[in-house]
Amino acid sequence: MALGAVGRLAFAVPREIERYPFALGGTAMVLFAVQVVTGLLLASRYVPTPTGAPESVGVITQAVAFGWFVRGVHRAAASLMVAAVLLHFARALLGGAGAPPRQVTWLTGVGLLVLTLAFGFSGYALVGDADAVAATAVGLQLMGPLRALCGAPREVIGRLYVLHVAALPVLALAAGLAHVVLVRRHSPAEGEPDTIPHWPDHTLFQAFVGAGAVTIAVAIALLAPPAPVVTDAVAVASPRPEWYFLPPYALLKLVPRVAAAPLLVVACVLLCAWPWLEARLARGPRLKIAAVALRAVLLLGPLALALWEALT
Amino acid sequence: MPDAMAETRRDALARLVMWLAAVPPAAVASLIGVRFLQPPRRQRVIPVVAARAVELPRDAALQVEGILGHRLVLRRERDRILAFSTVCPHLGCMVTWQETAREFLCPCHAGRFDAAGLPVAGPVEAPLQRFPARQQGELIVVDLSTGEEG
Repeated sequence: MALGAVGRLAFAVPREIERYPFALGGTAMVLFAVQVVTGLLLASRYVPTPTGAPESVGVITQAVAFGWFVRGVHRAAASLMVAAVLLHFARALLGGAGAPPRQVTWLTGVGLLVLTLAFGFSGYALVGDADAVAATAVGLQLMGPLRALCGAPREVIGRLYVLHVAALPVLALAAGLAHVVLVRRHSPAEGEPDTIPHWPDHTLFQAFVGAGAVTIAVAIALLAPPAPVVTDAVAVASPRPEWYFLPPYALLKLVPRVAAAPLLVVACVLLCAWPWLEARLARGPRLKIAAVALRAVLLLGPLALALWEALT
Repeated sequence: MPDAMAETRRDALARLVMWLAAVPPAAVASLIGVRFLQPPRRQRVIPVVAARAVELPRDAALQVEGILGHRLVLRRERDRILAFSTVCPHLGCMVTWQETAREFLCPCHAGRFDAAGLPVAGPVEAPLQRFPARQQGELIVVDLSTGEEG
């Protein structure tokens, strides 16, 4: 069976994709595997209740053998995975990756992007310290009616735990499998004169880049291990989220609260509709300028919001 | 033909070296995982001499430092000897014994503990950690526990 899988991976890809921007999807996959392993370890010592969460995370960080390291790697790899997915998305957007016949591949990709961010949000909430509680309360404001699914305040941690360790992994595996199968089905090698086999050449290249990312995650965990957990209500809690949620966090400060959730929905719809939109915009020279402008807004808008938030 | 053979062997060796390079990281990762899942080490109890008995008269209190890295407050209450850690269970500041009020005070958030180390005021919820202590001849011995918490 393993040989069969390897055989399926031996499809041809253009030689020109043997470059870092084209290894980002594989990097995200390798980091996901790291998250599964470290996540299983953490889950075996984690208690998903409002008081149990910060307590058990504190015990993991300060008392369990290598607990600080496992938690540190999980946290660093999460950030790196979001970075890899975002860069992969930027590469796809700039490369016109959703063009026919790859619209469905694009849709699965948008799904994986949303799932990755949902992993980040729920994971940060699970720490359960004062900062996480504050940040989660802010984030839930953006969920609109979906907020009700999280239940009463004391049920939020339990619900997010189920999301983080059961629902999201299943969805991510399904979407990831579909994404990979579709990438292979619509191989970019058609009509390319110079090709290489995905296995072993490109697969190993991706594995090496992925191993590099894991090394960076380990280095971050060693150099900046997680701080002890502060549960105290007296402590000044900061609702500021992880870096990748700075754009919506800044958005909440700029627009009325009722407008923030619809704006995010519009952004999601825009992302999903992008392949069709782009195909239509490619028809005229003026429309092409509009397409470039839209791309710039999609990429630079969040970046500008994050920078503004980080600098103020 | 010999060239082709040499090339294959080189490829095979390179592949072997690559897979072998993955073995040490995998081994270390497995060890970390196993240690992570194992129950914490049992606490070890180490009896230490904390003071001489004459230094601690009846109903008095004494702060001692450098006892295996601990800073303790010893109190003699009638015939009993009590040994308290001075680490505030709130945020880890150092509590001091107030003789007039007969209670422990944490300077950071005004947490107060009664003479038995139980929280009475401030943001504190947990009592001060206590160690078993006794007088052995002319010495006061405290059973310090070390090792990882359960």
